[in-house]
Amino acid sequence: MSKLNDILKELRGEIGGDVLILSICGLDGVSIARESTLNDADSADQQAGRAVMALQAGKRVAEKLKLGTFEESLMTTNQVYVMTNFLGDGSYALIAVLTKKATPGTARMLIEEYSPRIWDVIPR
Amino acid sequence: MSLQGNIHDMSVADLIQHNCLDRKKAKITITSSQGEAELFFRNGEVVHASLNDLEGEEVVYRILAWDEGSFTLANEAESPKVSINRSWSGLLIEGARRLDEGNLNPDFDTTDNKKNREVPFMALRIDELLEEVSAELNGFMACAVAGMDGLTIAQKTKGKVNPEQVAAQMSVLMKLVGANNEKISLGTMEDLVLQTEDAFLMAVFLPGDQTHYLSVIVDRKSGTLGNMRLISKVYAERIAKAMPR
Repeated sequence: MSKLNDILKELRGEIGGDVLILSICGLDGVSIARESTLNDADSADQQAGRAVMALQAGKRVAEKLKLGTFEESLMTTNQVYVMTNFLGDGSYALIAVLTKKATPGTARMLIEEYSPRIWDVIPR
Repeated sequence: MSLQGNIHDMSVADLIQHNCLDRKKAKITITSSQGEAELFFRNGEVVHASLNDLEGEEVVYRILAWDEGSFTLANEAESPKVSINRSWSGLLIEGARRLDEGNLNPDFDTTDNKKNREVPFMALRIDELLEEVSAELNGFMACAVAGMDGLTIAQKTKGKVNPEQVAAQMSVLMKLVGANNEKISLGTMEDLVLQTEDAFLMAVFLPGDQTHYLSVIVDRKSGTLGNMRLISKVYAERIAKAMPR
């Protein structure tokens, strides 16, 4: 797992100081690795877990609308950006919570770039 | 042949629309306490309008606010001149905008009248804005203005996507995400983008309103995510202005 944490650290370094949470979650919503600036780890896990719940709902929407395989989502609130991406075969997801100062386009590209590496080091 | 009626039963906007769709040469004379207005139609357009000393588009905007009076329609009447070049739909949309903004002369506009006309004008205006959205976006597939009840207020589609189904699905998703955000203090949702193998799907709340949203779907191959976000936000604001509160 340390490899996974190292990659998340590296990704956080690339995205910059606007990262609040980077988390790898299974579809059960349980986090297997996390990189967060929040002091409260439980809160970070809770946020990631709920993002996975939304991701699964998004997947169902894409299926019902016959728009092809669901890949990622980007939610904007008045406080943060929340990006969620399926990894590999879709059994895990990467959740990124960023401040509103972040550049979501850049973060999205970086996440896309790191996703295969992250998937490769997830123990299966 | 002539036809008579009351504009309480058939509004000025309806009269214009019906005559333009009929594409007949005609004159409508509308008499109310504000004066006697004449509208001339030719080839499916309003070509001339007069009211007291006033002529042209302004007359149309003024009489759109009338809610009392009688009208007479005379077919085959020749217009003495052309004072209007704008399309009939453009006249109705501009009239609706002025009514919305209260730009009409207060002497010619009444609160009751404005209220009566809000719904048809709102629908026209939103349809027009959705038409613009479809023209602005490469790979446009569908868009709709919907409530969180999952019902669409207006919609536009090109191809296989059913906007009513999109609204029904997106409303459920947005309710779930909104509830999640509340529980974990992520703030108030402004918009949500889903990326699938074939499409980008975005839902953006109308500004100042968490009960209605604009959803847009563009084809992944020809559409651009950034452009879709930009256009959706710009038009969400415009649609919000066109909706009565």
